[in-house]
Amino acid sequence: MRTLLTLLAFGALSLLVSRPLFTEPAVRAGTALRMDVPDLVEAADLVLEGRVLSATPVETEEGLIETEYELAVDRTFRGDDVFLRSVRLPGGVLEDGRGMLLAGVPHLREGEDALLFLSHAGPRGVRLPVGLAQGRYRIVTRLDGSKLAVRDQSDLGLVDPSTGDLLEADGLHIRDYAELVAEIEASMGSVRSQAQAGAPK
Amino acid sequence: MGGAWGGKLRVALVVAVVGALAFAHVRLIHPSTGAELFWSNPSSISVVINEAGSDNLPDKSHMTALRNSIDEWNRTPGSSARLVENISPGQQARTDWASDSIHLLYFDEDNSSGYFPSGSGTVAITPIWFYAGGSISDADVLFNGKNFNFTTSGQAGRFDVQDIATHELGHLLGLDHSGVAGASMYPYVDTSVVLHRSLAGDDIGGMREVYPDGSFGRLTGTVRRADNSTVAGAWVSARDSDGRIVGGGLANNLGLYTIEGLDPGDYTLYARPLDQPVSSANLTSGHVVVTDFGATHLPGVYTVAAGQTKGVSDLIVGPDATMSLGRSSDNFPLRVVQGQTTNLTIHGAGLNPGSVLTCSDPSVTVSAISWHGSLVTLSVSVPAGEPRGHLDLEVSGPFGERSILPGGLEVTPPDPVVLTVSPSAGSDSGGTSMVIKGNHFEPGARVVIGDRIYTDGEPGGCQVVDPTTILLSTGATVPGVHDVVVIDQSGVEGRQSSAFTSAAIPTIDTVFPLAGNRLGGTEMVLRGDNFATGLEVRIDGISQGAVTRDSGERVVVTTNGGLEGGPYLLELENPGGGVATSAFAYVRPADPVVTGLQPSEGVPGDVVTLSGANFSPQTQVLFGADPDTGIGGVAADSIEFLGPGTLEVTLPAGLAGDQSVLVRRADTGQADVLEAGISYPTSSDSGGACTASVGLERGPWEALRGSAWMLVLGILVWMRSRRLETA
Repeated sequence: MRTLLTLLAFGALSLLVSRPLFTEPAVRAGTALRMDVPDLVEAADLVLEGRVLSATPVETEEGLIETEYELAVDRTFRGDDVFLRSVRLPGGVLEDGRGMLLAGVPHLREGEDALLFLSHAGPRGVRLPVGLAQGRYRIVTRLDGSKLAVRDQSDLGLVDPSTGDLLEADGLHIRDYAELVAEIEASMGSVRSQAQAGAPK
Repeated sequence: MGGAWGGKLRVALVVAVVGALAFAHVRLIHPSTGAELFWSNPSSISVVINEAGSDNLPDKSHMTALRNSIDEWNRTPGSSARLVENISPGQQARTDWASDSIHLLYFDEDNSSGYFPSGSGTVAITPIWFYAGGSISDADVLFNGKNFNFTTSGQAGRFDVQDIATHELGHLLGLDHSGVAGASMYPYVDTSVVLHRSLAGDDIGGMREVYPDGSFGRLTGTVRRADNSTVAGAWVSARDSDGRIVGGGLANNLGLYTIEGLDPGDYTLYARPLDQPVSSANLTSGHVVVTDFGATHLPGVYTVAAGQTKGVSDLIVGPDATMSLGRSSDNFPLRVVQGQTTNLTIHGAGLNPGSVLTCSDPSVTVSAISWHGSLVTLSVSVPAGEPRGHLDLEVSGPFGERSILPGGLEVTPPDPVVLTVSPSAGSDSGGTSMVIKGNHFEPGARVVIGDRIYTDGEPGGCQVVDPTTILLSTGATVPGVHDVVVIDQSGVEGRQSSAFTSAAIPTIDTVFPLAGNRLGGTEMVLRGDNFATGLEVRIDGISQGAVTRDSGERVVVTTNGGLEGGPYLLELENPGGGVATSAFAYVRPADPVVTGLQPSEGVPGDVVTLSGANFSPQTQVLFGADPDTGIGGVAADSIEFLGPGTLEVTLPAGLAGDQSVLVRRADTGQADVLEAGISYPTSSDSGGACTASVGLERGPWEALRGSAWMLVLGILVWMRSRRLETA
């Protein structure tokens, strides 16, 4: 009973810290390269941070199920800087319960604050998170107001009950938000430098 | 553990949907309803391999690699699931993978799927469609051929098709990732790894749970702490009596666990926190995962019988440990080889001097070489003859802390070595009896040649006679030069490159003439079948320079000349192999040459003058013989030898129209032919008086088809030599 109560307490705490986690689908990995932040930045067409305003599943004429996410963009690291942006990712569940998943592609949830590394849009306008689950960090706020970037693919939060800190769990990548942003900016600096070096004179 | 964000108590909280029991392995679930995904017709899940395959593999070897992956899942003992390949060419040509009517294994070379845009970093992906109840309606495996390179022959830096496919087919069947580092469903792959080609016990356990076919044992129990509270989400693994891991699973939120799909036998159990290298982040949602305890063994050995569910004692776990062994950056499973010592590096935390490494098989010696905190280097010595399978590694600290890496080592045989393949060529229609000699051939091996797979002990397969010999009879094989690959059940392989040529085997029906002057220059016509472009003709081992292939059935050779004698071996060899043989002799006399007739028209009984060179009293003259083979024709009614350049002959009856004129030395077989050398009246010319059938008579040389000519030619050459001696 004590454990159960403890779990419930942790659950409540986790809910405060990262409420959106509670509806996220699980990781279903396909096969992707391991990539660090500079790799992600270099490979991405669009790197942004924003809040998911809505998620609308759609079924294409070909029978594919995709989800249209509307994002309120806080910051665009790479790509056109617009305040509102729609991105379409593969997979989703229709109202009638039919669904499609692609191994390894993370789903976003309404209300989630995310930092996304997205590929170029494909022929149907579908983007993929670069490196599948590696291309999406969830931004969460600790009890002290500081931010963390959590990369995972499950409805998972690791919580220290005494501090409210998210804990590092193997398989999770928990980064200090400011540190991650700095690394992205530095990587973008490298990308811009390469672009300038390769530009016609 | 204890990272930057660490604390002693670690709890992973996930969706509050918790199943009654958590089983070994993990299944894919419906993201909204939590229903586990499954095929409702598991005994016949149709799959199609797209024929085009990868542009990295023009030899179409993707076919055999993917078939091996399919076969690996189909061979799962105790599972009713079967992937049935539809080999209809019409289906194999399809690319509409999104259609519900096809479950396609497809290399997307141009991002037509839209899932492999530039920079996606995705190597392969498995889209799965499902209904609310969890039944799968469609699933396909897509390989990113646009951005990545694939191999079936171990090329460095390329992804092994069979390794990737085996993992993705596990998803197609409804499995998610496994916490067992050696399982095919382990989440991480690398270009240097092929051991996911073979299923681990945990993968097999997954199939037995989802699609059971038989009666298996189960072990069930509860994970608790010393204070009797239960531990949710502990990973519990079972080992067999050889120390091989046979399965594992998560305890549920009440600490209850069940390990299913066990064969009758003795097992030991342990629990560990699911933290590294596979964590709850790699698994489906629906579980509460607690990791604030240390890896702990359950004392005792538990015996289960078929169909028996056996409850075991509570597994009381110890306190959390600061050390852990294994990271996702390690390419698990780490291979160790029977009879060899292997040095390895494994990452982790708290790997400090004073710690001790052990292995779940006590006969396997594990020795730490150096401890570096975040990594340890070690050597692993496996006695020859040790059973293959996955072993756990365990590290213990000086204060009793412990970490277990489940299935992190895989014991395999040495790589098979293919030394010789005999014969090196055979008909593409099959039927060639082949002997493969080498080393380290083990029962259950597969041999891959071109588009064919031969599995030990299966109908139409191969036979592993002993560790050095494999026998097989080839089936119809795509033409070409092929590697001969022996793949062990563990997935390791050996190959002999370009060891077998599958081709249409040439045959020689006729050689005309059968002999020529020793100085060369004789124009010889070979008739037969399957003469390939680029072929070579040899006489007595000497390649003939002037060879013209007119068609697959006709070749003209102008001889180089050679030592008087024979009959010599005449060989016609297609490029890459495939040899037809016959015979040809070199003789001293100059070849007869016929240049014309005067007059060139006549009727039976007319006497005409035959001009040429090198005629002799033994020269025969036939009209209407086949100019390519010398077969047929009607002999002149009479021949008068007027000199080496002139013969007078009497035209025979029974011919009409333009006819060839053939001269031949009866004593040597040398010959020459003049096509359309004489013109007989046609039936219309003669008012129907001439009704002869052209070329239907069998000339004396026609009987020499087959092998009898060799005997006759030998006699002729012998007679010639006797005459010369007499002279």
